[in-house]
Amino acid sequence: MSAPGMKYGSAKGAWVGEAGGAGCQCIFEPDTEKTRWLPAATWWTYTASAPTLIIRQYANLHDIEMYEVATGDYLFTLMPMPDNWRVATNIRFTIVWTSDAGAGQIGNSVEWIFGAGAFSDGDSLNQNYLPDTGLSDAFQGTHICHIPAKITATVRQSPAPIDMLMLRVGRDQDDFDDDADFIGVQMEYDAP
Amino acid sequence: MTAMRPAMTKGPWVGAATGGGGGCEFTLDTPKTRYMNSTLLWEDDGSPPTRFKRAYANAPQEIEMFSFTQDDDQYVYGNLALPDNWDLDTVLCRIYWTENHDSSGSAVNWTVAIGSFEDIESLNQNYMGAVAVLNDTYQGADLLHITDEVAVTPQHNREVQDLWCVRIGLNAGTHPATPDFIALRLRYGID
Repeated sequence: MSAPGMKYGSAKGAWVGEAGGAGCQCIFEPDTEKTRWLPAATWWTYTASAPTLIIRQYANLHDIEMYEVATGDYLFTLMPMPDNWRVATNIRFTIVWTSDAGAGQIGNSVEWIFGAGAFSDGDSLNQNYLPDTGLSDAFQGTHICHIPAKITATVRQSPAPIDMLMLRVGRDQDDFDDDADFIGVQMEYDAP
Repeated sequence: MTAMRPAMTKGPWVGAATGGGGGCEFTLDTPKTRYMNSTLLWEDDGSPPTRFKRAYANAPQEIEMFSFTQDDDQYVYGNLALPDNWDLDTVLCRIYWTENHDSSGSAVNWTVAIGSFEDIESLNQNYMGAVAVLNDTYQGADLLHITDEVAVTPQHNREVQDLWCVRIGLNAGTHPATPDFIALRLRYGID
């Protein structure tokens, strides 16, 4: 279907509905990515095995809140999704992390893992939404900001608009022998 | 079909073009969705619900939530800064909640109130003039419950760039235990 005169700028999307004749009704749904920045304070931990939430003070006059994450640690958060969530696509994660240790370990890898499950009204919350999606990032140096390329993760359990999206981030076994400090995650999903 | 307001080249295009035969209007219709989970809410100082994490035997997570005693004036609060293009209209709200008691079919009645405060306005004002009630029915242990969407009218003089103060509570119902609040979803319109 085409809709003459209704295309502007660089918007990409699809015309849906009906158009033409004496009456017309058409809807333009652009392809637009939405991002949500989820800093450390918006995550919680397991009761039994909890990484420590700290505020690191840097000598150059600023502080950053972060979790000190060891291998086997996990963080969780959740968000109600919008009506126009395009669930046919995956979601993407970009993690931001650092470390105040790691002497002699430049090039060693930190293995981050991401899980995502969607819960609809009436779904049991007592369901497994694994396996996780892995991301390997090499340690670059003490106090260095690490922002590896974003990864794509599958949302499990039949995601639908309005669902509650449950997210977890953790650290798998790796060869970095110190805590990796989690600053936050940029989550990206598709919606008009 | 007439031209479609070329000035609207920023942001998403979602709307309906209606009419035809020489007249056609495009209405921008892009509501914004925001949410508040436990990390973005705080408990009432005098009568707090219980913040806790529930573990699940088959799931790889614990979920942080608030356990509410019904009709006990327990509340949690959050806030949100509004953008320049808020349409000043009502807000559509849903509550996400759960429980692990065995009694299904009982009534659970959440409440939401919103105050909208502008620059140089006293925060020491009551905004309970239009408390919305979000009724739901308990379906079973450990199920996620999502209420229907209910319109909430922000109180005071609504202006763009306002600060919303949000209060969530629980009225009396027939559920025999303590329903657990997980999150609030808010949806507002923009011009």
